[in-house]
Amino acid sequence: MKKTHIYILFGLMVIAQIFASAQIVYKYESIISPENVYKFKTAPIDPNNPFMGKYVDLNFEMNFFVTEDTDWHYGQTAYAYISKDENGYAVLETLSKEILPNSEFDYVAVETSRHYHEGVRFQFPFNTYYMKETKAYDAELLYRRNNRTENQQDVYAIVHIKNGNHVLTDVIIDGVSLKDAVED
Amino acid sequence: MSLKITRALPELVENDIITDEIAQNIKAHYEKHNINDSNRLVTIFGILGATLVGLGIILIMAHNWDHFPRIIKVMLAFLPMLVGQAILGFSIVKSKSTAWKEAATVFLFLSVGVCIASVSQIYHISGDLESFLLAWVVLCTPLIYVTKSTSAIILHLIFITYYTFEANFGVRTGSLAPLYYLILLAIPIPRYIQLLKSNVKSPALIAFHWLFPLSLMLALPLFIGSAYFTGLLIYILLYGLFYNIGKHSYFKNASLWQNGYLFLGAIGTIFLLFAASSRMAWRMLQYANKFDTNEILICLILLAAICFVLYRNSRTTTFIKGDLFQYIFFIFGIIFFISNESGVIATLMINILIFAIGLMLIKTGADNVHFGYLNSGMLVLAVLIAFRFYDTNISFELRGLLFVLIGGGFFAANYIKLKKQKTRNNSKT
Repeated sequence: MKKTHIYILFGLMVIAQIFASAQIVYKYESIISPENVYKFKTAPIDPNNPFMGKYVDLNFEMNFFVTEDTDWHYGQTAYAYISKDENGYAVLETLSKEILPNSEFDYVAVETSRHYHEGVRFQFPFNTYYMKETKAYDAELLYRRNNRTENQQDVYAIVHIKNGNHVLTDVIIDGVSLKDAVED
Repeated sequence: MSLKITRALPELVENDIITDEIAQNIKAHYEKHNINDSNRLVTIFGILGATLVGLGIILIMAHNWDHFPRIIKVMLAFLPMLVGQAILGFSIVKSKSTAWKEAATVFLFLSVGVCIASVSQIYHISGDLESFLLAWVVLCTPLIYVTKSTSAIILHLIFITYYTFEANFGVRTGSLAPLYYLILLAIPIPRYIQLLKSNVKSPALIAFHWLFPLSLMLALPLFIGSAYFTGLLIYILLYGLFYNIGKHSYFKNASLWQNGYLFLGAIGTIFLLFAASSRMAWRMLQYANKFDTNEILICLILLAAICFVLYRNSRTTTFIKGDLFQYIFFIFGIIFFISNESGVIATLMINILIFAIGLMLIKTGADNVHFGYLNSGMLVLAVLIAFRFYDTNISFELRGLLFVLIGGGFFAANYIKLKKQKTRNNSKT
């Protein structure tokens, strides 16, 4: 290969490598702003990813949509339309198989299960909260304990949603960020 | 070795065994070799260093430093990659040594992974490992041609194989993973062929003779899915292809360790034959008896490839017609289809086939006084005997009778051979 070709290929590769990661940063940074914050109440594991570190698995109270339509299958992509109540908590408006062009609500793409018990169960894609290695296990325990007890404390995830894109920025347990609620 | 020879040179010159000029030539020859060897060592240490530093950075970033603000975390995520790009750019522009380029390539490869992983961590993106690995490999693919680096190809092959493992978990119908894998596998092949044609038997090339077949072997389950029964046939065909590639005249002077194709082909075939040598195996496999167009297509492609290689091999002088191994895929194919009719006959034929392979290896070993062949032949027979001795599917009396008959056969064969030898010796005297 000629030297100029190598330079061009190298240049393109460098641009692609930077661009690929930078566009993810740009996409998520553009979502994060105070007006598009939703609080998702969590419901009642030390998982590990070899490259990204330790994380806490999140489950949400909002995971079921009552519908008479039985034509749902496992792994189907659907769109959960969401509004806010007076305290900023997320409220499910509807679950649609297609994007609704004129909806006033924000939406998140979710994965559904089959139709079961007069409705369909779905899962939000923001269910991974990466934690500092030394805190992840305690955070997981605290998170589970809080979600299990009868007199449950207020536990929710802070998610920014804009144009169908979303980013999870924090998990709050009783007013404190999960990363500050546990010690190193 | 070279040190011993160069040390002996003055003595040889003194005793007029070689001339001074020849001694100088020999010395110069080995000095050149020494320089090459030390260069190679520098390259290897460079690659090792870059690998360790890169992996270390991955682990440090995975710790997740939560007291840094987000912007600092983003900058730290990009930093190793930008440094890697700068070092590689510098070594290309300044035409630095191979050691520089190889080390920079390895570092950049790993730091691209660091960058994507860290960004996913910062924004809590719940993406799966499969798509992460795919993005990583694709972004680093140009490295193979940018620096002509061998470590880039090695990393590429390792990571595309890792990708298939992840993609194989809960295979979804219509997944594009097999296609992506084939495209990614094809990308370094022109470079591989270029190296083959250069006729330099470098350690990197030997590594490729192992890594390419190993990658295919490990990635094959992605193409088979849950069709285990057909999978057996597909694997035998793949090993048949490897074996026949290993028999190509290019490898005629290569030892078994330099010929990954031959080694994997032979070991894989024997292993699968043993796995299919019990009645139980065929019974279990038939539960998963599925033969879709997909599997038929893979079989046909592999079959065509083997026929092509066999045809090319048969036109060279190094071709040995009687080598049973190169046709096993065909014999197994017949047994495979018989098994649909009668599992007992199929099992019996597989056992006879293994027995024949053992005998063939022993005969080749005895004819060429090659203990490697001789011992592997004995090992094949010993394992077969052990397997059948404990085979509870055959009754004790039948097993006993079979063992006595085969043992008697050995005695008879030896006796006849000895007798022949004696008569030959007698007639000579």
